[in-house]
Amino acid sequence: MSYRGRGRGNYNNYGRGGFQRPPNPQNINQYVNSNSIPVEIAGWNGASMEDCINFISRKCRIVVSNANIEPNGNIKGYVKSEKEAGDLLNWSGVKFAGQSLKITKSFSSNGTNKKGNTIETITEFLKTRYDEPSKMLNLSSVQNDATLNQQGFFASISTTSKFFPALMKIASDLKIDVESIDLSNNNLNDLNTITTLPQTFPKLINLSLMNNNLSKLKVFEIWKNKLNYLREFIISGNPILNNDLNVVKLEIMRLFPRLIILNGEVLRNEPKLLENLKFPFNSQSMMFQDNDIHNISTNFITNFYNLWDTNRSNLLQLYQDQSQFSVSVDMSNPHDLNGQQIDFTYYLTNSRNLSRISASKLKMQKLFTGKDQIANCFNQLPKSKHELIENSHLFSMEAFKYNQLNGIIINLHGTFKETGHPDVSEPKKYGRKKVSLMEKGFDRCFVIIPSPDGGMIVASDMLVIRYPTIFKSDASPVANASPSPAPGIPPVAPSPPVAAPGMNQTPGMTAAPPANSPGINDLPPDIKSMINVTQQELLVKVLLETNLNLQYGYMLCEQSNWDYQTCTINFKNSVNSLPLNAYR
Amino acid sequence: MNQDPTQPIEPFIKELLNSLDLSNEKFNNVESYATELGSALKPNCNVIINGEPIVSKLEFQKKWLMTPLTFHQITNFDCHLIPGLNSYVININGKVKFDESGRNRLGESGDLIVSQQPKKNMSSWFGFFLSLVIDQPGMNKEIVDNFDYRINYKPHDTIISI
Repeated sequence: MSYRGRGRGNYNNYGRGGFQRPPNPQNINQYVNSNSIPVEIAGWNGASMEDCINFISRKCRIVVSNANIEPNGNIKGYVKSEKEAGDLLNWSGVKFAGQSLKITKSFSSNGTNKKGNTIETITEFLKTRYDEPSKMLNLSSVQNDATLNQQGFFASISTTSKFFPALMKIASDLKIDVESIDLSNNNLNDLNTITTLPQTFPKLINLSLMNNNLSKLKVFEIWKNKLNYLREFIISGNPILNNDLNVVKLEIMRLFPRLIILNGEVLRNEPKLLENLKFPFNSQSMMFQDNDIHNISTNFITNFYNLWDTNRSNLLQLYQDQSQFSVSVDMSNPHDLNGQQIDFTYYLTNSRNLSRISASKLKMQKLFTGKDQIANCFNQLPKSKHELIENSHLFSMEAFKYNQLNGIIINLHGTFKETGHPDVSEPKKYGRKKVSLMEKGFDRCFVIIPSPDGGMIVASDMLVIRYPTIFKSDASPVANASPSPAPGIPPVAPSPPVAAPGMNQTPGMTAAPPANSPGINDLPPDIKSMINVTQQELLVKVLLETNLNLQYGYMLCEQSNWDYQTCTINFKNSVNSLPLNAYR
Repeated sequence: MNQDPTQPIEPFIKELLNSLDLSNEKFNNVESYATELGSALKPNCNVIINGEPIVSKLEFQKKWLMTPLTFHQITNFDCHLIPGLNSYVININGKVKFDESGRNRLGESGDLIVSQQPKKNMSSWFGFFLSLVIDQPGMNKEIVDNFDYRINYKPHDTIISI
C-alpha cells in the first residue's frame, strides 16, 4: 500500500524513470514577462539571422529572443526591458558582416509600444481557440497557426518547448472555465511541456491527445491522480497503441480513476463506478435521538458555551465529586493548513492523549476529578469564543441516550477562537516562550445526567484540541437539512429553556444568564418593525435551522402562522421544491 | 486489581478499527465477512455515521460492505471509566484512507475490463472522530453500546464522495 498523499500535488516524480525536468514555473513567468520590448535590426544581410543575433549577444551582451524576419527584411526580436532596449540602441551603427547595423525600437501599427507582446499574442490565441458555450479549448495543431508562427513562437526548439507552459500560465491567470481540450496534432513525444495541464484545468472532463508521437505508457504517470474528473480520453493515432492494448487500457484506467471512455470505447460502467466511490451514509451536521434530547442538548450546549466563553467558573456547579474532565491534543489530524504553525502549548501540559502516554501514573494525573481539580484545569486553558450562532456551519453535533446512566451523550465538533491567555499560566511551564492565540479545532464529548435535585450534572467531559478543519459534505444543502428521527432541522441555536420529562433544567443552568439571542440584532430594521419580538426569535431560529435566506425564511414563518412546529412541517414538505437560491 | 483502567482500551479500539478495515479476501462468503465488520458492536448498538442514525448493527454491516476499502489509524484517544458502571466512554481521533480504485469492499467494480491482479489506489488521509460507549473489555465479544463515527476532514484531491 502506498502513501500516495506524500507525492500528490508535489510533482516529486520528476527526474525518476527518465522523465526530463519540466519547465520551471519561474522560468515560464520570466519567459512570459520578459522578451516584451520589440526591437528591429536592419543592415544585417551580410550573414544569417542567427549569426547576427549571436553577434549582438557577444558584442553588446544583450540577448535578442524570438527573432524573426519581417516582410520588410528587418530582423524583429525582443529584449527583456526598456533599459536593455535603450542600451541596444546605443549600439546602432556597429559594424557587422561589412555593414552597419541599424537598430531601432519597434512599434506596433497603432504606434503604441508592444510591451507584453507575448502575453497579448497568447491571450488572443486562447480567445480564438476557446468556445465558451461548450467550454472547449481547441489547441490542435498550434504550430500551424499563422500568427504564432509569425511571432516566432516555434522558430527554435527552445521557444517551441516554452509555448505550452506559457499558454498554461496565461490560461491559468485568465481563469478560463474549460471542460474539454483538444491537443491533437502537436508532435508531442511526451507530456513534459504540458505537465501543468491538471493544475491549470483541474476539472477537465474530456481530453484528446490524438495524432501525437506518444509511444510510452509511463509518460502519463506524471498525471496520476491529478485529472480526477477526466471522463473521456482520446489517444488514437499515437505509437503507444502498438503496445498490448489490454495493458494500455488497464494502465490508463489506473492512472485516471474516473475515466469512462478511451478512444470511444466504454471502459467502465459509470453508474456503478459512481456508486462505489460514494460513502453510502448520508451526511448531516446535527443528529438528535428524539425531541427531548434535541431540546435538552441544544439548551445545554448554548448555555454551557455562553459561560465557557465568558465566565467559566460559573460552570463548576455542573461538576460534582465524581465528575471527570480531561483534555487531549491531537497534532496529527489531517488538515489544510499547509505548514502553518498552530501553537498548542497551553494544552500540552495537561494533554491526555492516551495513544502517546504509557505510564499509568501520568494517565491518572491528567484525569481531573471533582470540582477543584476541574476548576484548576479550566483556568489553565485559554479564553475562547465559540461562534455557535454566528457561524453555525462550523459546528456539528450528535446527541443520544446513555441508557445505563439514564443520561445523554452530546458530541460537539467545530472550531473556536482563542481570545485570551489562561487565568493561570505558570511561567515555569512555558518559560519565556510567547504563546500565540489562534483558531483551533475541537471535539468535545459530554455525558450529562439528571441530578437528585432535578438539575443536571456533567458526569464526564472529554475535550480534544486539534487543527481546525471544516468538513463540507458533497451532498446538497437539502440533504444536509433533513435529519432523521429527530424533529426539525437542528442547529445549535438558542431556544427557550425547555425542561424534558425526568430531566429538569439544572438550577445552575437556569441561574446562568440566558443564552444570547444573537441574530435578532442582525435582522434588517424593516423586518423587525413588521414583527414582534417572539416572531423575530422564531425567524432567527428558522433561519439558523433551515439555512434559508431571509426572504424564504420570512415566507416560511409567515405561511406557517409563526408557529415553529408548522414551520418544521412546511419546510420538510417543500424542501425538495425549493430553489438553490433559497438558501444562504 | 488493575490500577490503570484504561489499559485494555487501546488494544480494543485497534481491534475494532481493524475489523472495519478487513478485506473480503480471507472469507468464503459474504455473510461470514459481513459479520466480522464491527463485530464488537452489540446487536442493538446505537450506531451513528456522519450524523445518520443506523437502525441496527446488521444494517450498519450491510452498508459498510458497500464502502470502499478503508485503512484507519489512531492519532489520539482518551477515555473515562464511568464510576460504578464498568462502562467506558471513549473518544478517538484518527485518519482514514479509502480505496479509490472504484471497487467496493466486496470487490465489485464498474470496470468492464478486468485486471487479473486489481490494485488498490488509496486516497489521501481523511480525518475522523469516533465516540464509543463500551462495557469492560473481557470475555464478551460484543461490548459496544454506542458507536458515533464522523468524518471531519476530506482531502481536496479525493474522488470519494461523502
